[in-house]
Amino acid sequence: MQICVKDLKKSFEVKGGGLLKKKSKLEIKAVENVSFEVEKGEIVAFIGPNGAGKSTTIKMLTGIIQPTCGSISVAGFNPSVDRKKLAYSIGCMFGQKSQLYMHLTVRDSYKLLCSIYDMNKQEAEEKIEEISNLFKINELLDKTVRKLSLGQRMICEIAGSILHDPEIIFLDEPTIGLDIFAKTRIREIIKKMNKEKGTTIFLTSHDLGDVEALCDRIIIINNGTIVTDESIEELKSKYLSSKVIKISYDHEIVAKKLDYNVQRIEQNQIELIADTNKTNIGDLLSYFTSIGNIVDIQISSTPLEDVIKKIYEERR
Amino acid sequence: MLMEVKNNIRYLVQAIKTSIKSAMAYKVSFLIQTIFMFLNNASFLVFWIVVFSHTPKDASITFSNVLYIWAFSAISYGVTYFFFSGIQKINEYIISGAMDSYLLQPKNILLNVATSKSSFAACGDIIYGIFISFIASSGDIIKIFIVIVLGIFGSIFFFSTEVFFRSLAVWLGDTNMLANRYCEMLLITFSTYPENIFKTGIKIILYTIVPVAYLSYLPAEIVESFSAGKLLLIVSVGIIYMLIAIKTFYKALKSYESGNSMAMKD
Repeated sequence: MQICVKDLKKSFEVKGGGLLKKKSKLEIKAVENVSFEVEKGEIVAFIGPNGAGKSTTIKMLTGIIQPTCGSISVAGFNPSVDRKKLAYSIGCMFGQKSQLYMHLTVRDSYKLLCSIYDMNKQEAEEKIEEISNLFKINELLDKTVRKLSLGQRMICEIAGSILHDPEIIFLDEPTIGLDIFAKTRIREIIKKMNKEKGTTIFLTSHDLGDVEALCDRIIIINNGTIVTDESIEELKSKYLSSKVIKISYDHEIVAKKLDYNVQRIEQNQIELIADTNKTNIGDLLSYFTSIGNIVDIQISSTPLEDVIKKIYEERR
Repeated sequence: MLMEVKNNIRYLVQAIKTSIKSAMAYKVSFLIQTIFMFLNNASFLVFWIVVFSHTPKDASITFSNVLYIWAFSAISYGVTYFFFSGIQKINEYIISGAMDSYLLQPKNILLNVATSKSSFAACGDIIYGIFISFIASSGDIIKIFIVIVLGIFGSIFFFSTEVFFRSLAVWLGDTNMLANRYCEMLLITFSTYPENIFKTGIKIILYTIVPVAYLSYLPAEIVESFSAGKLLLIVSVGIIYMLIAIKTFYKALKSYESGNSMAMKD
């Protein structure tokens, strides 16, 4: 088990009042009774709306802030006690924060990062070479960080976070603000890291494209508590069993609305909703093939985005 | 253990090299700031020359004493901010949540933060301090050496004061102005005037809450007439100040709540 979290809680105290008003204290519960486990080599999405407790949880897992109560074990270490030891086993990339020096080249920033992880000059040079080949960023190494595009910088940030070969990587919004090409590249890189190095990836993102493209499992947090923890496949079969099917014929057809939950009939086109858990899709297609000559058929699922939105709303 | 020390030294050297390199990204600016800092300090030298040529001689305040206290103040200030200017960012890092990236690294957080920045203007202070100690000692190498060594040790007082006040940001909010005023108005101002012009009440303050005496007055006395007792006193007080600052910093980190603002190292 690479990450084991039990009954984790974090509350913040907010002081009110002021010089003339009576002072008051308000306790805000950011995370409450959060428990989950992550196996080695898993890619887990940890998602939730803004203010749900994602970043607070990640900060507790990485030793940045201390939990109010509960237990955490990451790579066998307690982050509150073994911050330095843990730092050798984890890599972090927070999309909104940089670990690179704006006025220096990527190579100089990497050299400093290597010395932070106790590599000597030769080891550092070899590691920078290896990582830049893996990420295909050789041509960026001698560029000043401030001159990189956002996409290039994000790739360099991720590369910088694995210079010390961490067992686990925490990625907080790795594709924030990126265009579709940069997003695709970063997703490829994350998959490659996981496949080639067996790195466990713990990812938060508001972009569900990241989640669908990368993750095996999804943990949804809302109002500080976990509302869903299941594989993407389970989630899909549970929520994505409804398919919208549009069938076009080469002539006007006659079908009853009662047949297979037909929603709409328009001259030579019908639209229906089929629940794959209740309906045999083969029988359904046989039936609609028998009533006419099909020229086009479209089957679409509810987008994952709508499913997540539904879960957020259900558990609010 | 030995390996850990070696790794930490290697890291510190690399961190200081990196922050100086980052500060020197604009070389012309570096040169201009260094020269102007030197000239700015030198203008006070002119002021003291004028004062000494127009006032009756007072055996308790000598020109060389004034030069020495200036030298100590300038070297201590210069060393602190040239190598450890990151301490001036502690309050900002606490408020913006930028301390996160330092907490994620397996190194001493305070040293990591302190060496994250370098102020190139401070280089002018170091050069100026050595220059006037050369004038004050008429080129006596041993005295210049003592000035440099005690000047470097004196940086503990600037370092501790900055760390202490800026760490308070966790509880007080932005302490930038408080730290700036304390260092600039009190430490720097008082450390460039001879002790004998002040009355007892102020002297008590300069030997306690504003540690100017250990930063420039006592070191200046040691250069002119060595005293092991005074040296021991400077070292002891320096260690106490440092321990208070370190304790406050780590206590502040325990209450650190991070943040989500956009931040980039520069």
